[in-house]
Amino acid sequence: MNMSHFGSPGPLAHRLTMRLGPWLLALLLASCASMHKLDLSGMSFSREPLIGKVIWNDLLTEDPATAERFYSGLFGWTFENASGAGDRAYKVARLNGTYVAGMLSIAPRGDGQRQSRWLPYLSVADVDRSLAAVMATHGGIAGGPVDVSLGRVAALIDPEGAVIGLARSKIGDPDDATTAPAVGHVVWTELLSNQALTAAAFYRQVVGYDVQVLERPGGNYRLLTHDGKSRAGILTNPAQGWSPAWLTYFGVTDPSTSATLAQNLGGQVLMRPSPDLRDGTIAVVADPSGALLVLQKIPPMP
Amino acid sequence: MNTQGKRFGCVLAMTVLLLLCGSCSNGVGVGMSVSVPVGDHAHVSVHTNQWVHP
Repeated sequence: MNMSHFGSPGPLAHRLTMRLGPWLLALLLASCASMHKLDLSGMSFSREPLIGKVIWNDLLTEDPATAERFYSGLFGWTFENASGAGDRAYKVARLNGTYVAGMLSIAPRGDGQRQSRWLPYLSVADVDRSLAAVMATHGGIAGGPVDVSLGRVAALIDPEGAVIGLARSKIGDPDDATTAPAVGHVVWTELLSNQALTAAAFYRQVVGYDVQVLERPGGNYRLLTHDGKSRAGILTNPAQGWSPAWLTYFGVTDPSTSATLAQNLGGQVLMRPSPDLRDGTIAVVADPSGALLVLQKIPPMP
Repeated sequence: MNTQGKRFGCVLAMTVLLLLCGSCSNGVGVGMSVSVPVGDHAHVSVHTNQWVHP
């Protein structure tokens, strides 16, 4: 075989390379610029991972167009196209200069079961190491691990069937100033568990939390903390018919008004504010595609 | 620079740009699909007095 054939292009190849090269470079630069134009100037990030903190939330919905109208109307979010992990349509929502959440279009399940949900992502030091701990403690893997815009991510299924994400950000986690409780932002994340003690042990093992038990009139509440910061909570499931699930709380000025607005936008009010329900500071609603969310009065306590 | 050198330079520039393009994604957004049923949350009564404060 004449190897020199591969090392010395003919005149035609040479001309093509010289003429197409600049155009290919320009095309590459243009596509790069169009794919990654999110403006993060309104956010600040920690250098080290903030272990256990919810650093991102995605809405997985079978009806993204309706969901976009719902959340725009409820919280004033604006949406921008973004790159997701797969080929499904993905957008990120922005409010007052901060990216607050993502929205992924998902295909309906073949068996017709509902699957729209809010999916929080907990910061961990090493996603793959946490997944190994999941498998060693009777959990399962719902997605990933995969490398995406944010970093390396996966989703786990805990021993009771609740699903939550794990993430190791490649540019640092949004710091506590960026994610300070505010109207229209995620303000708390909580597991409804039928076996709170077992759940606390599981998440301590997988994420590295410390667990602080708070005695309250309705029962014990477990705070999941790290480095002295409260990052999430575990509540013994107050609704026996509900499957164990992670709930995402969003800040609102008035939960009653926001619940009515949610209903007018096509959502369903599952629990209106009540004096028996955390002093009337929360409402539980489902968005039009069935994803649960809690509307939390800001500031949280009267 | 001879032709081979120019070709090498062009390929090198493309490679560097591709690497930069891959690393310049800026750290928000996941978009990973998870297909796990969520169960029925809409038709269950809730004992609100058990919904304790954090």
